[in-house]
Formats: sequence, structure tokens, C-alpha cells
Amino acid sequence: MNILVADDEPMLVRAIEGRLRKEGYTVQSASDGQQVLEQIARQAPDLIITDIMMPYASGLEIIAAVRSLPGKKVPVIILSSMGQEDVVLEAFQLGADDYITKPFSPNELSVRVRRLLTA
Amino acid sequence: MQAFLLRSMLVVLLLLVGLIAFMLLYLLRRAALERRNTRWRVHFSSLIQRAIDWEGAEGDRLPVTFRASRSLKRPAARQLLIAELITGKRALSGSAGANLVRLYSQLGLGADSLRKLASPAWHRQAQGVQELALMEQRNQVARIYRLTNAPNEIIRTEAQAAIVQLYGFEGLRFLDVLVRPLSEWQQIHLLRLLSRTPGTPSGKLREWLRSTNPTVRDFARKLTAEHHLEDMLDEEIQQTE
Repeated sequence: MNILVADDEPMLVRAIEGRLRKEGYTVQSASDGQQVLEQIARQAPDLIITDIMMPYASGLEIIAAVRSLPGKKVPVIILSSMGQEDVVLEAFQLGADDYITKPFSPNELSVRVRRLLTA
Repeated sequence: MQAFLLRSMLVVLLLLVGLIAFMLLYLLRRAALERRNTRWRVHFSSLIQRAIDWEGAEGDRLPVTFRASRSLKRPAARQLLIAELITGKRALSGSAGANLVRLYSQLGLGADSLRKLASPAWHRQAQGVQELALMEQRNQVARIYRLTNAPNEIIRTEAQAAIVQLYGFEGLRFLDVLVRPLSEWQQIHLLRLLSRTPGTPSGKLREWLRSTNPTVRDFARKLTAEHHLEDMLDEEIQQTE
């Protein structure tokens, strides 16, 4: 299973990457929205974990781009410090599968990833 | 005339060469520092990763790699690790967040944050306060508490927020002695922090409603409204009348 992790905070990306690799997933990472869009265009991952506030393209734009792709539906988890109701609702309306607010527990993220990949 | 022009050109040329040499040295130094920081980040990355996933018992020490502990003899490396731990603590909760605090304490990084409180630069002091609060260093509360009445507004507001972050409603005791203004923005900030804290305002609320500091009275009124204690406010108004 291939997971794409996108966040502009390298320390956080490394932490999530480490956790997911330990659980047997293949992990790719991106530090901005543009990189995510390029990686998706090359090869769609099995799941995307993305922040909202990122340079060049936001997490919301990424959801919209992923949902416009033909073929199987790629699950998207939003991992953001923005917990405002309108942002969360917008993410779900655009097609996000899950929304986790920072600070978050890596154990909880693992469970949510597993649930989405086995659904 | 020709000699003067020649001399002037020579001076300008020398200045240019000096400037280019300075820029070159500066860029080389910056690149070297960046390379060194990248190396340290790699060492610390595995240290942090292990801490996040660690499942030891209470009282056990977190594993610290030899390379990381060797790097940590340098103050700049310690500061880099503090910055990484702060970023991690802001983003991670649960046992992962708690383990980052444990690592910060185990490595004695609190001493580095504490030293910042003695710095003459206000931004260093504010940074130190933020680090101690985020890393839940309750044993340093006395040092932070002293700064809640600091003349510099930024240090003061950081210290007030830190005390409330660490102790919730109990932390509001700095209002007893606050002689400086509590800005409207800071009042909103404190109310927001308190909204995530369990409990209610202490019995001191009545005293704050009678404070000689008008901004403390103002904040106390907002607290009564926030916690539906309007009866208390009415009683105070009647007594004043």
C-alpha cells in the first residue's frame, strides 16, 4: 500500500513517515501542494494524508484535484491545525474521507489509515 | 588630475573586491552552517522518531543515540533540537506528545530555555517562556510568574498565556497583582485558552471585579459572562452602588 504524506513541516512529515513505514506501508512525501499534484499525476497513491495550509496548492485544492481523477477513488485524510467548522465542512463537501485536527495522536492516525485502507 | 582619478578608481576597485570577498565568505559560512544543521537534523530525526514510538514504563529513560548525544554538547545543536521538539509538541498529542516533553526534560533542555529568560533581548525572553510553557515545565512557574507583570508587553502577554496554559483558571492569580494593562486582544486570547480548560473561575473573581486595574475589572466581567455568573456581577454592582 502506497501512502502520500504532504505537510510543509519536515519534522512532522518525517514523524508520520516513520510511523507508517514501521507498519509496513510504502510512503512518499511532499512538502508543498505542487509536489503533491505532480506526484498524483505520475501515479495515484492508495491514500493521501495532507495538511490544508501548504505553499502553491492547499489541501482543499488537492482534494478537488484527486476527486477529478478518473478510476478508483483515492481516500484523503486532512491533517490540519484549522479546526473551524466551515473549513472542516468544506473539506468534507469537497470529498475528504477524514479530518484530523492538530495536535493529533499518531496512534489514532494509524487506526484511521488502516480503517480507510481496509474499507 | 589623472593620478587622482587613478587613485579613486583603485579605491572603488578595492571596495568592490572587499565587498565580493565578504559576500563570498558570508555565503560559504551560511552554506557550512546549513550543512551542519542538516546533519544534526538527521541525528535528531531518529531520536525524535524513537521518542514518539516509545512505550517504556514511567521512570524509564528514553533511548538517546550516541551521535545525537555527541551533537548535543553544542548549544546550537541543543537549540535546533528544542525547535524540532516544539514543532512536534504543537502537532502531536497523546503519548507521542508526552514523550517529546519527557525527552526535553531528560536532556535537560529546560536549562537552555531558562537561560533565555535572563537574556536582555525581549524576543529571547518571550521565546524562553513559550518553550517552557509548551514543554509543560511546571517547576519553572515562579520564574514565568514574575514576568506576568513585565514592562515589555510581549514578554508579559507570553508569560500570562504560559501560566494559564500550565495551570488553567488557577493560573489567573497573576490578576491579583497585575498593575499593567491587559489589552483587549490579550483578554480574548486568555478567554480562548480557558475555554479549553476544565473548571470554573476561582473565588478570586469577586476581587478581580473590584480590582484597581480597570482592564482586570473588564476581563473579570467577561469571565462572569462566559461562565454565566451574572448573579455575582449583579451583586458586585449593587454593593458598589
